[in-house]
Amino acid sequence: MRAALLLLAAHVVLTGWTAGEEIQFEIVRLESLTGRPERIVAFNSQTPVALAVGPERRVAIVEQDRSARRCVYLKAADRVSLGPAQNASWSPAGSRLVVSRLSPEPGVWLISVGGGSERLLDRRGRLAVWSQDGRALAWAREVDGRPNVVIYDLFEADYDVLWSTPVSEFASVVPVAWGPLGKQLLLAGAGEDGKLRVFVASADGRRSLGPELSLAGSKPETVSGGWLKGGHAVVLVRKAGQSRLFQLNDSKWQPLSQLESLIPISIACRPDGLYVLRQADE
Amino acid sequence: MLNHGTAVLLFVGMLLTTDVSAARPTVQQVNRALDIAERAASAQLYDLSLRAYVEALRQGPPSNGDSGDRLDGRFRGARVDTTSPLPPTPVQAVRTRAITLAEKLYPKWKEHLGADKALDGVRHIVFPLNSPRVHPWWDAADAKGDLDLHRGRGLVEVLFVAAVDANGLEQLHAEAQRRAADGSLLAASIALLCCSDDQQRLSAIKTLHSTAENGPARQDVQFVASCLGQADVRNQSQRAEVAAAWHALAVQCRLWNGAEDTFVPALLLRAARENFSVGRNDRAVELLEILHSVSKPGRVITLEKARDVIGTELLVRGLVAETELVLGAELATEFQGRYRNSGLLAGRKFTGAAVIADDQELPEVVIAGSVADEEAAGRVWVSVLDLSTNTSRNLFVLPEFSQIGSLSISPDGTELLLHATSPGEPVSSAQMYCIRMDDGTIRSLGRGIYPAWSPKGRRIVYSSYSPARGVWVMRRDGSDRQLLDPDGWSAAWSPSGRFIAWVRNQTSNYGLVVYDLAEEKLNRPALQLPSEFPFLSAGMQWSADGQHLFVRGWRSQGGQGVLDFQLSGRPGVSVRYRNANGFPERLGSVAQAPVLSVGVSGVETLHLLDKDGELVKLNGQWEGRRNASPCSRDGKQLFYVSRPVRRGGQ
Repeated sequence: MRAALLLLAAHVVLTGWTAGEEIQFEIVRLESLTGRPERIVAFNSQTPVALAVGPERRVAIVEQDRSARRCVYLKAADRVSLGPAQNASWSPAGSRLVVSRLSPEPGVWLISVGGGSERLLDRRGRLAVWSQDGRALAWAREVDGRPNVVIYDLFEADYDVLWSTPVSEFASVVPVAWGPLGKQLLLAGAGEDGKLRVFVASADGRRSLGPELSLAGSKPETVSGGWLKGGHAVVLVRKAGQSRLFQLNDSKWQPLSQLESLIPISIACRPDGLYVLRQADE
Repeated sequence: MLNHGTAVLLFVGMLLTTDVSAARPTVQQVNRALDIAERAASAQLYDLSLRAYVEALRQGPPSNGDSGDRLDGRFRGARVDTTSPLPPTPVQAVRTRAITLAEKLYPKWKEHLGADKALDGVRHIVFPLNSPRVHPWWDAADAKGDLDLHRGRGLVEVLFVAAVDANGLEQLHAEAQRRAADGSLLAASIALLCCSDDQQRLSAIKTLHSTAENGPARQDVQFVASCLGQADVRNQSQRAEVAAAWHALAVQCRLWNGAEDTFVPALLLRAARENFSVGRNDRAVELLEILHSVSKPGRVITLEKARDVIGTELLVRGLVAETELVLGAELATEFQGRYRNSGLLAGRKFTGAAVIADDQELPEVVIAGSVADEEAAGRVWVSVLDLSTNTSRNLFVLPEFSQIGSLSISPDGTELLLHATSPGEPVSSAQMYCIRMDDGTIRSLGRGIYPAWSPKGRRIVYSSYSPARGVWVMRRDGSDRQLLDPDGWSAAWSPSGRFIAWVRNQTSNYGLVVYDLAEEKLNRPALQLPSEFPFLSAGMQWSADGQHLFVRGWRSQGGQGVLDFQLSGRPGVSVRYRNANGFPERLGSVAQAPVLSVGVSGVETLHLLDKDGELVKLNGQWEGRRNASPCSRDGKQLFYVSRPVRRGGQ
């Protein structure tokens, strides 16, 4: 046994290990689609995959690590890690985050940014997003064996499910972003046919689904989006390293080519503009 | 930094001097191996680091050996000050070091060796290869803080994180289950943490419960309690079983050496609370009795501290007789007085039991019109004033209350809230009632005052003297009560639902505060009260746009007035109305304007307070009666209480 261990130790010494290289990424803000990008922050990373922007330009990024698990970092430059999680979304004043944690207990968690209280809201929930008025959280959860979305009203401490009659044509549905007035949700779902479907639905669940953006092909790595200042929904689908942007105009999803040159990895919409996570120019 | 060659030599040296096949290594051997693990990691030899670590620990905790788990010689014969923490023994020290090191090195092992390999290494520390046992390498640190259960699970925590990172929770659960079947309580605890369905969970809790009844080893209890405390309990039967397991675990304390550390009181307290929460007050009181009996003067948790805690736990639940039983009549009386007059619960959120007795006699509410006019004339009415036609009509006829007020109509218009006090009873015994608008059915919401609906009508904020004084919230049906601020009083919900404002009574921090439900933060607007109004009174209203708060204030020269707190834009306080005659007003609101009931010679009438601070009497209200407690839902109708003029009044 000792000999085996000795051999193993020698093997480690001889083979060594090479660290992965980090490259520079940045978050830029565009006041409008035609505006000039303004750099908010630059940081080194291996694979940032998602972005959340709070008030006063507070930033949280989700980074995929070597074991393909994801970590949330607060403020890209400070790199304060909040641990393995799938996504994060800011409270209106930026003192809290709702986080879809992967460990130590998976589920939707409310955490205070400056340390302090942490509260597990739903062990079975994932991918929560916070409405801009602070009232509601929406997250994905199976209800009666079908994909659904939970709408949790923080002020009334009560929740509803988005669809009382579960949507049968989806294998999964996740909320991407809330509309500016907290009345609509941008959702992304995987159809039974394997196609990605993006659509806008009323947050009260009563109205039918809006126009769908349907994309065939492999499962996307990330879907991000929100509402631009003019009231148009915008979505970024990131698949196989390629970014495709679409905007909802006159009840139709139309490709949005203006931003493709930026090669965005993830986007976030705020009242003061559109934030884009991208690889920094050399 | 150590070079690679030296690290290998060190490791080889460790192997040659350590008989890893021995049942348990000594403290020195473990320390040496941990040195290797740490130094190898510094030299980026992560594989070596993990292997050194696993080899050092997988045979279990070190034996006492030559420098075993005994107090150092320098402590022999010394008088031990039990109010201060004892220095760690060598075994405790190496245990702490091992866990701290695992927490520090695990991210590096995972990053450089992959999550699967890191998990495979870590699992051997907790689940030794050739033994059904689970090594209790969990109690690294002493219990932290007063009466807080130590929640850290040491190496198991690292193992759990590693299993999640490597998608190996199922595998971990299966392994823990297998060992739990062999009677390992620790394995059952780990299995409980990794359950994936309700059946597994209930079964795991039951295993814990039955094993706990057989008397678990003292050193295992802290870990089991920690797992039980974090069990994902999902329904009432699981909750009841968990409470029973807590009880079975905690009563073992009687067999140990009392409250020699903070863990025993924490365990007893937690177990008592779990049993209170499922209605097993008998078990909870038994546990508090044990807590009282094991607490001694001069211990880490002093007798005085334990008595404080016991008194609070029992009195906030209104268990006066039980307080006397546990603490004795004299102390119980003293605590009741102290409890009423102090912020004993400051800084803590407390979920209290509903205080509605099933057999409570409800006051009779009669729909107006079903009572003869002459009989109704001498009674209390709830009326509604239509502000477009300036006409009032009666809704209900109520019994004679000595005090009645705080009308609040539900957002859907179906129910009306109010508080009322029966003749001869003090304000502190005021009850809250909810009356159905369609048929006058009344239900009690228990003791409380100033109830107000949330904007969607799913919750109610109110003030209460019991079970603890302060501002509370509850669900519409009276369940899920939560104390928001023991120093708060007289709260009102903002129209958006995001904020609740109340008056804070703390001497050093007196004034208006606004609680933000989105951020869960108490904000104190930086607004100075005008010197003319040094104190705020109960009763406040938000303007419909949520930009203003109208609050009644007491004038230093006597009488009251209305202060206008502007909360956004340029925050400030202005005096909207002054009154020097000393009669109280009650405050309501119609859209942006506050509505007052102004008393003149004992007769109150409803007035709108305009922007210039002028009172405009509302037309259409009942004349010759005392009209008060106005409230409006939509600015079109004003609900109010109308009472006959008392004898001798005008």
